[in-house]
Amino acid sequence: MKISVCGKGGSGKSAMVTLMAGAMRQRGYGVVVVDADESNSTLHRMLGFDSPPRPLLELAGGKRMVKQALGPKDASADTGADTNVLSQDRIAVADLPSDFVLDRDRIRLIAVGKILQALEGCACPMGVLSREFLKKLRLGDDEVAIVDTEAGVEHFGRGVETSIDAVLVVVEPSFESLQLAERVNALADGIGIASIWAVLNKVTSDEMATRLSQELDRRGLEVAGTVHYDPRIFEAGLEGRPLDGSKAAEEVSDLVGGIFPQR
Amino acid sequence: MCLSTAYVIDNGQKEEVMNDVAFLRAEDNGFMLTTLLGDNRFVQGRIESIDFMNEHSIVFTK
Repeated sequence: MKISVCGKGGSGKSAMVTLMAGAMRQRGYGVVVVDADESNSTLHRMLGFDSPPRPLLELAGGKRMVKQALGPKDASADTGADTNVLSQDRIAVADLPSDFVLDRDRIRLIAVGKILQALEGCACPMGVLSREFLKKLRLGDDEVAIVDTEAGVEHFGRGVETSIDAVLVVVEPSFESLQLAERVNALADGIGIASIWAVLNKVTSDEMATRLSQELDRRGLEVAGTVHYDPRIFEAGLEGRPLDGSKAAEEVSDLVGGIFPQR
Repeated sequence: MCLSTAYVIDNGQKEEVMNDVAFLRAEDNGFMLTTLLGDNRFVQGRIESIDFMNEHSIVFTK
């Protein structure tokens, strides 16, 4: 199964992806985390890796190729890596060169690419690569892919969710976040994604959870779980430390348990 | 989406020939198209139009 985690900027998508990865691993799944956010660059830290993996964009020769004024005949030129793997009809994580995959206890992290320089152009190549990689990515029966998307809904416009089985939208207590969740629900439904869940995040009271749930219900979204504001997550995020062992992790574990069977 | 879709018009029929075109190079009697993932395709003919704004398309005629 491939799950896309969506939501407003700052709603806690990357933290949710990280905690979900840990919870899925505890339930016996092999986890592939796909960092498809071309802006934020700290997901690897949350997952406990010191540095990010080489981005798939380098494997594609993507922007480097596009930026060369007299573009090469062979896109693999100068990438220092074998691009053939991306041309395969099916890609298993094991097919990727080792420096493009970080692995810690069967939680593997793959990154598509980041905007690194001013004036380097738009992020469309990352969107195409995310879409094509996810389409070709083959998972075992005991594996799940969790995709950390960029904030907002542009990734739907780029077709990143084309091969996604389920969408989890992270909702923080704000009108903007509720509105975006409704939009995500419509977009995901429009491309035939059957499983669309909302998860409440940074909730500070039961009253707030009830109110948010009512608002989401009114917008046609099913709430799969609630994660309360957790100062340990906030502190770890502030210091760039791995997220684990918090109350929020227990709540995400409950969320995952409600959605996925134990293996 | 900034990457382009290439079409060829042949005998009045418009046919899509390639998606996600990232690079185009003029050659002797046509154009070599390359996708982001490095797939190549040669298209014979001339460019009829390029839409940079809406469709992000390149249309060739034979």
